[in-house]
Amino acid sequence: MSTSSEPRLAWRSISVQLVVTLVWCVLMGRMVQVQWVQREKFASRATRQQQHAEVIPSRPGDLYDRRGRLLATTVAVQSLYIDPARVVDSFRTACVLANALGLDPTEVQQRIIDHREKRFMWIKRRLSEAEVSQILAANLPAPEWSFRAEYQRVYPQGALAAHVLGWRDIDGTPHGGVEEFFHTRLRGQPGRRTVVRDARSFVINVLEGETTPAQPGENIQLTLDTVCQLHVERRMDELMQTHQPVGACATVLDPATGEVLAMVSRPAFDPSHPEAAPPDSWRNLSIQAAYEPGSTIKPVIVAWGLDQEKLHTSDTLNCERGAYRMGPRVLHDHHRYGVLSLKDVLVKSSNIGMAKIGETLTNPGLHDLMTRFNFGQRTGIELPGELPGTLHPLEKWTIYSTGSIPMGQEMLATPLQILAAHAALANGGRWITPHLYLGSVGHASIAPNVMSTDLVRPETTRWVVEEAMVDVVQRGTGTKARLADYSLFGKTGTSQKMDPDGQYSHTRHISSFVCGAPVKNPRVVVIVTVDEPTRGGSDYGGMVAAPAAADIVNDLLKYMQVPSDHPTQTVEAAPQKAARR
Amino acid sequence: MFFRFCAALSLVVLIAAAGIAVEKQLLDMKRTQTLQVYRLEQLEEKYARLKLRTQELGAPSRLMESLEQAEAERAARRRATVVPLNNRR
Repeated sequence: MSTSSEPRLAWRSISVQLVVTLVWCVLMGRMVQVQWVQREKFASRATRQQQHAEVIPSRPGDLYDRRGRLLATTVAVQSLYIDPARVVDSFRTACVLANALGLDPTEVQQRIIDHREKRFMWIKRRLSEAEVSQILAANLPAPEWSFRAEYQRVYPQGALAAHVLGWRDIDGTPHGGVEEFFHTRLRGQPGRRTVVRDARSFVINVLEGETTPAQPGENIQLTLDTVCQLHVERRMDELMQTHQPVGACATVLDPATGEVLAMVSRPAFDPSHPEAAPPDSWRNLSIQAAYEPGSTIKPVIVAWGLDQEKLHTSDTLNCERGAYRMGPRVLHDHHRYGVLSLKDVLVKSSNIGMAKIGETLTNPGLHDLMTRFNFGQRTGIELPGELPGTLHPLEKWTIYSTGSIPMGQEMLATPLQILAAHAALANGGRWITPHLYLGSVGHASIAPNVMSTDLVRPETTRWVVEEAMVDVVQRGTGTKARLADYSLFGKTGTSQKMDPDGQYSHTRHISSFVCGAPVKNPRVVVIVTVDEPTRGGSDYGGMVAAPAAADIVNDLLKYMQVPSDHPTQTVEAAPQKAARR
Repeated sequence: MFFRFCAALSLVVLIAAAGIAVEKQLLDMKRTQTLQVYRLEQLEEKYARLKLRTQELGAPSRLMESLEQAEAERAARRRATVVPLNNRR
């Protein structure tokens, strides 16, 4: 018995040892596989499960006016989201959230049910501080919901300069204005942070070594002056009420530097409430509406003709008693003028006189002039969507062009292009890029991208501005712009709009007035353009736009503490001003 | 032999304890750093909100109307205090 059981025991013992050894070998093999062969795979899987990279949003830079007033800034706000897959009691959660945020509980519950498979769903963005407190007090289960910090753009000056600033949507994407143009500089550099989470998704560590802090955006200072802008906006609102046009715009430039002091377009919108904006309010008419400039182009043509010595200040032109055949068409003036001096052609705004100047300058000369004054090209102002206007190539010009171009037809220009040309006349003949960028605040400043070109001799522009354009205001078509305290030069313009059949309309006009002051040393040049005035008795530029432009000049020069240079006009012009107010 | 074993064990325990202390200090510093970053963010946000509030309160659009109204009232008062010549005694 004992002899037969011993080998069996030995066999069993060997078997057990073999099995144990085998199991150990398998375990060892698996350990080698996990720890060595597949180490990288499992390590990366563990890292993926534990570590989460988060983007740290960068705070967009602020916008300031030329005197350091804040135009746009950014504040952090909380937005609430939930994880629908983790919501246990959708009815209770919906009721709590709806109660705290003033939402419809049925709608919230339906959204939670509809997005059960999702891990992220916004409930409400940009919460107020009271709403945040109410959510915190509601004590919802932690894994179901969370806040996310977002940046919200705020405009402390309200709707002021909305077309210049632009606006940002709920995701911070800029739309229009300098917000869009300078977006790459304003947005900053987002940072990155890696956090380690436990099995319940709570953050247990922040890997500081792998954290890159966000770089805030650049603070940009604009050439705008908030007070100037406010004066212009108030006057344009008054104009909109009086004349009820389709639209209107005004721009103010410092002619010596090309800096834009104010830019207003109507109808306007509030960048804090873009959802309430009327559909036709988005366009900045100063740069995004091209129209035939009409008579406002005439001083530029005359200045060029004088500078090229094709015209002389002592020239006279026969205005043919109001009708002049030019090729196949007959040109007309508003009045039957006979022989007019060159100055009076501008003062009376004679189309026939200008057509004859066109014949003297010829088509190539006119085209050269237009090209040099940058018509048909964008001015280069730091705003998106600027129109270049229309200037046909010389090959397409005909005998019509010889008469049409000098009276501001057969071409399209934006109000800013007209103003830039007149600023060149006001500063002694130098065309300077109109610009909005003044510099950076708290950063290494990049110089504004400004071009300047000498186009006309100063003595020529002096005659055009101080003689002809002053007389336009004193005794010509712009008498409504006379000021009590300042000498003013200007030019009116009334252009016909096109009817749908391609013919010039006799009822729909664009009225404009471009002016500057003081005459000897212009500190501001202003253009006011009114699209289709419907009330107020007249739609001539001298009646609609000129008073508004003169008021703007008067208000701005007083604000800038420019001393009066025109005391002799006080008695004559003061009643006009008083009557307006 | 026993003394050597105890000495080696103590050394190991001491090194482990020192490591734990250093680790705790490191965690503490990390926590402080995170707290400082959080405080800096809070202060930046507070600065932004205060700047916004001051600019809103001092906005020309808000002040100009009240200034003009006050000026008009002053002018009206001045006119009212000027006694017409025929009423003077």
